[in-house]
Amino acid sequence: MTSTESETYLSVERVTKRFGAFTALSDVSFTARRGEFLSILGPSGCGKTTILRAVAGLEPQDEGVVRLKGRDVSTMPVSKRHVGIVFQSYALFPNLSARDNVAYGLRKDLKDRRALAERVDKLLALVGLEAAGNKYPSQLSGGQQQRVALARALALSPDLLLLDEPLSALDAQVRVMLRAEIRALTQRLGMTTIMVTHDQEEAMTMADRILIMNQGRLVQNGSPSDIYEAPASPFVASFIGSMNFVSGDMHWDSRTFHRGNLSVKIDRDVSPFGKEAVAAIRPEDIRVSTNGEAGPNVFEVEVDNVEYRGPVYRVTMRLPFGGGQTLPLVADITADQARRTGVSGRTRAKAILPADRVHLFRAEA
Amino acid sequence: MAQANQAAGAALPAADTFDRELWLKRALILLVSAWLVAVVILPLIQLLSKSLFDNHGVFVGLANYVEYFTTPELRRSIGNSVFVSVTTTVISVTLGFLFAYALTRTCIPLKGAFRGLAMMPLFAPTLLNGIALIYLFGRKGLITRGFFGAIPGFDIGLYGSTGIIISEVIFTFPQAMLILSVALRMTDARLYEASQSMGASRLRTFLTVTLPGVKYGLISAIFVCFILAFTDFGAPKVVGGQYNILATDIYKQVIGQQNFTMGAVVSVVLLIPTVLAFVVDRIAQRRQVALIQAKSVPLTPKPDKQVDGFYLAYCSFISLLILAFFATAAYASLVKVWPYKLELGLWHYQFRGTGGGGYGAFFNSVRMACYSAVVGTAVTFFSAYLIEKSRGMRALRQTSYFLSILPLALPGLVIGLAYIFFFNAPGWTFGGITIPNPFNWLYATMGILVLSNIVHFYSVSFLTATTALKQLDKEFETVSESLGVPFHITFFRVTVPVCLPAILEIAMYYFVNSMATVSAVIFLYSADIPLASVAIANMDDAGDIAPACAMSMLVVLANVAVRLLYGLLTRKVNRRTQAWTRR
Ligand SMILES: Nc1ncnc2c1ncn2[C@@H]1O[C@H](COP(=O)(O)OP(=O)(O)OP(=O)(O)O)[C@@H](O)[C@H]1O
Ligand SMILES: [Mg+2]
Repeated sequence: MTSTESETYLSVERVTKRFGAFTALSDVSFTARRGEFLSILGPSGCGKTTILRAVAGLEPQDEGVVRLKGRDVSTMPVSKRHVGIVFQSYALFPNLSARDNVAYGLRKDLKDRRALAERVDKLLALVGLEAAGNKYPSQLSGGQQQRVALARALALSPDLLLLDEPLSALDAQVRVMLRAEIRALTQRLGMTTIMVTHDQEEAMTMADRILIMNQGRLVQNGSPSDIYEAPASPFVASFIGSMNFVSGDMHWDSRTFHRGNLSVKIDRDVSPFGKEAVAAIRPEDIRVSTNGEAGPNVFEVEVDNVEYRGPVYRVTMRLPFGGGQTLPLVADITADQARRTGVSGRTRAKAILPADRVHLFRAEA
Repeated sequence: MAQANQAAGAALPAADTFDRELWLKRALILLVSAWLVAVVILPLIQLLSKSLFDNHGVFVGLANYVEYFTTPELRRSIGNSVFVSVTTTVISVTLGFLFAYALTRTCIPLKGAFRGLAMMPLFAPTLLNGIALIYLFGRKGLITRGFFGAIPGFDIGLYGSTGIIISEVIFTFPQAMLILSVALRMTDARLYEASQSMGASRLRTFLTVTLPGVKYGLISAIFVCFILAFTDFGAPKVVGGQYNILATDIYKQVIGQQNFTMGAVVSVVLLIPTVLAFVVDRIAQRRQVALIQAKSVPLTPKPDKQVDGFYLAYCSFISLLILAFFATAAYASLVKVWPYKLELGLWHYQFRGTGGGGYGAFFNSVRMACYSAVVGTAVTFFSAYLIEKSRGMRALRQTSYFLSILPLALPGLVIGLAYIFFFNAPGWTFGGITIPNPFNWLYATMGILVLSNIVHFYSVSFLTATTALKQLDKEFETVSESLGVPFHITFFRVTVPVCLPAILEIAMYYFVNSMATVSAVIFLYSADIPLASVAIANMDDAGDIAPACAMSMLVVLANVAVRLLYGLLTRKVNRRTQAWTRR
């Protein structure tokens, strides 16, 4: 037994879940340390809610094991797992005040009314709703309802907090504010949390670790920067941020990637696989130049369009690779860069693809 | 590590993996299914098997059916039943459609009053429809005699199909109107805008937008009207005369000739079209669900002098007819000797010198209606809750759901007759083993009357409850589970208070219908528990029409009182509900 293993707080091992003939989860494994904030990210219908429900005990898995604090809880009903859950709809009881909603699970343990009131006050203060306790859910704003749901889920000091798209029903500004609040709160309480989301920005800013799912499988598990910097597949790369892809051949000896008469130097630590490969680069990693720069990975391009996007400009280009054929390429450059280079649509320019910023993926069948 | 964990897993106390709540819910749903099988399926099987035996209990196969179809008087009733029901359906649905259209798509005033008046017939026993018609069009009727000789009268030849059809139209009109109002209200305004923007004529818009939009509502209304008219027994009994229909045949065979076997055969014949209608209606309803889910823009009617004028006249006319109808009945019940001594008084409300049971019967009916309302509402709502709000157990829940809406296809007479057979049976013998009937004690008690009402009116109540429950967040149960709160606490603290309006509606529905119904209970009441609606039938049989009319008025009054109470309570509940929703 090693020390890293003993820190494992939640472990999901090879969980598979089927609905009839449809496999909603196949062979999903991951772990969480105490106090860690995990975010599950993936396209609609990929099984995010299903894995959350399996961890909660609401949708028992067909195969695999869920362990919480070292105990196998696979067959335990949700009522015994000590998990707090916040649903996308919040599911606040409409006929009970915010206080009574928060107190809902406490009543059976705290018979003393004074102690109950104190505990509820504490919970409401925790989520910053001291003044709104006597209001009914429909009298609260979306953000406030969200907080009541959070306080209710935290009332029994659960071992694990599960959030299913908790912010998706809110408008953009409240969302950004609550992100920070939820994160601060779970940190303060040392609460191990799993949050399902659609929103990559939400996952990137809140989570210690992101799990990317696709079609019932876990496709990557890593810190936000790992996933952004080293996506495991073109799917992940395009799901988190955006990415230019080019398929072609890889010459491993010279570490160059070829497509037509194009050759791109790649300076990244990739262990060799086959010849067919996909090279990729993020738009913000491409530099655009209008002076006569030369050297490796500097390519002549035709600029089609320069689009103003607030903090950045998006440059849409075509990269010729011989025989009159071109590849589409987009770059995001700062306003400052755009001014200095004076790049504009229907002109020629140079695109520089830094060798250490080019990703390489196995070509997918 | 893995081994250590497995050991820890194995050492878990059993209580931690046992989901008491889940098993409890499973057991309860099983119980719901079992109870529905016991009170719906088993009696039906008993009825079916009865039709295959002769009156001495000898198995005769289909011989009874052969006899039925080779007896011209009996066979003729099928054609008669179909004829009056189809005619009724055509008239009712047409009138109901126009009325519903007026209430939903025009800007006429007094919509509330029109709606209220149009619903009046729902509160009356159908026997009253027949009785009031006798006072209007019978041999000594107001119209027949030209308002007691004031103007020349004319005889419409009430007794027979004419009388039955008029009564059934009055009986089914409110149902058609209600169903079609719902359908017309749901249609999407955008379709109309599109049609108008393409310059379509009014007729064309009606044919291409309005009718297809209410297609499923129309199908539903047609089948409901058909089934109600096809299976009603009250009005034909009073004004049918020599014109035999299936429903009166069952009654005559069983009560008149004590020929239970033939009664069972006719019941099965009566069941065939109603079950067919039920199946078609279910299919239509399922299609409609998909239709509602699409987001639609509600239509707000625009004033139009001509159209509004026409519909105002139409609604006033229909409302006046209904009003006149009930007013005649009320008047007739107060007149000393119709049509000779027109002094007003309460003579007929004393029920002296007539059979039927008088006020004893009336209060028995009130008691029965109260029990049906309380027990029926509790059972229906809780069953609907279990079926709608449990996780997993899909097959079991679907079966229970089907069993819950099945009674929709069962006419009251069939339920009544099936219950006689089932609850009166001393026991059953299968291959030499005799099982005594565990429900036999219910026979001839208040219990069986209440039970028959609960089953008779179960499906509509169940659907009302299910609709209300579907509007609650489906995660309420999950949240309370995760908080370790038992489901019954959430049921009483959240589900019931939030669904209170629907619960009140169900209770009112049970009360009103139990009060007015005659078809199921006429086979099941016992001499020491006379009932108001049965008393009406018996007094009518004995020719005591005035007291029968008076008793009907009492039933109407009780129902209107309950309806008003319901309105009051609903308002109170809504005021409280608004406290949760006031911003
Ligand atoms: N009870 C169920 N019965 C049958 N299929 C189900 C059930 N629950 C989920 N599924 C299917 O499993 C798949 C994964 O569902 P899940 O709800 O986990 O998706 P999700 O990733 O949460 O999607 P979204 O982002 O839209 O919420 C979907 O294809 C869904 O149709
Ligand atoms: Mg989901």
